[in-house]
Amino acid sequence: MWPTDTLTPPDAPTADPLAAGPALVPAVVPPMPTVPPLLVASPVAAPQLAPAAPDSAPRPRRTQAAPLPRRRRSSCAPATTFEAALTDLAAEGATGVLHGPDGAVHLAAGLVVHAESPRGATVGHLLVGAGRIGLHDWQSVALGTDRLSGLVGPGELELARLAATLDGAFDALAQHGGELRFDPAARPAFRLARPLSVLELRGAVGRRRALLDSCWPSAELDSAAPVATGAAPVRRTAVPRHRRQALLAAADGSRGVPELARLLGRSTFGTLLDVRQLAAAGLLAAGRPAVLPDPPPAAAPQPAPPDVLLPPGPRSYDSSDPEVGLLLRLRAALEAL
Amino acid sequence: MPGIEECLAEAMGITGALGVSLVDWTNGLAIGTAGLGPDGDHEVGAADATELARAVTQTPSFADPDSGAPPAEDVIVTSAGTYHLIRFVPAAFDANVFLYLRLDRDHANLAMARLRLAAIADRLVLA
Repeated sequence: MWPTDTLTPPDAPTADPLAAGPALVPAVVPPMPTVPPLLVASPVAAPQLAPAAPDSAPRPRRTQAAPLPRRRRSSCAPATTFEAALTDLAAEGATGVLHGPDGAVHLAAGLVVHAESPRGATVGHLLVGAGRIGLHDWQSVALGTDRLSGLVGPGELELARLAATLDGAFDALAQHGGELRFDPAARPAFRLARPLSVLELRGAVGRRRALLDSCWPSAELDSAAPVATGAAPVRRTAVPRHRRQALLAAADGSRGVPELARLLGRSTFGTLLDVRQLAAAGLLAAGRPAVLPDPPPAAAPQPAPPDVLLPPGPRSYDSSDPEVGLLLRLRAALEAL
Repeated sequence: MPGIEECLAEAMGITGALGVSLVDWTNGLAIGTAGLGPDGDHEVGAADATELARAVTQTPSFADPDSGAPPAEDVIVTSAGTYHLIRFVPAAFDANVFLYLRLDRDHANLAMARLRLAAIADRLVLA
């Protein structure tokens, strides 16, 4: 929690030279305005506090107050419960797998060696889908007869493992509030040749999210089934033509992004990146919501600090009133300008 | 069929090579490194090279999306003392990686280095 005591007046108001009256009579200090602690700590909202403070009444000087805690939005602070748990396990040098409903990350001596998620592509999806190996080859690998070594080079195999791990981690790290379980006995299907620290993994996933948002800042299509609009592009897109055409042909509103990725033999993230770029060009739109009940990963926690100071507690207006609703929409439109 | 480490070691054998890294441009991760990074820091070098790579892969003018197969091949930056050479790895799946080679300008042959780095990038993903 965020302490608010740094805004309360000191015990000795006579320290203020503006305090009127006899020195022995303590001045009545007006109560400071109640401000939500989060807004006090927010670097955005802090400057707006100054004019709101009463300036006519005698006011004690703030002396030697402890610095307010600041909410960090950097990659240093875990953003989700899964990231926080994973960071703690890594700090202990744990070995095992942290499971959540939407993905799992495997640790070995505190380093990330593998990650997987139901939405993410596997090594088999990538290599078979790209035509590097046949389905039969992959099935025999899965059965334990290692025939992959003669078909795929170690460099390519390692890149596929990394792509699969990052695909899984993208979903796994976004889990917030679900039930998590740590199993120290589980062993991963493979291990990365160069394990990643949890900080590296979180940084990598965070930069991927930022890349997606820079293409098209809406996660609407991430969990929906995209549909090709058939319209002319509103702007040029950098997606290569063969990738674009295959994706638009497959996007018939019946498949979500993971299903499209599997159909086309691509990683889920690579498909997501294409989908966002094509949405920005007006070539894809959201169809019906996919059956997935979970919110899209990019919509995960960390709400941005609000732009306006709202009083804490229940809102004082009734948003179901049509006139109030109109005013709220007007305000939102003005703020969007 | 070389692995990542062998490919990086081979790239360091290119005349004038100062340092090389294999980088994922979707997330700036240095997957493997050899030699010295810019100012001795491969992580920062990978992040900076990622910005360059994205300027190519995410910009229609440079990505050349209608040309067919691999969208981009090289990015070359020359400065007073150094050649910076980025070569996209033509993986069959979404690997989204490139090799970033820095060369000492006094000793390197840019044209030769580009050809050799391209061959190494091809071998990394072709059996």
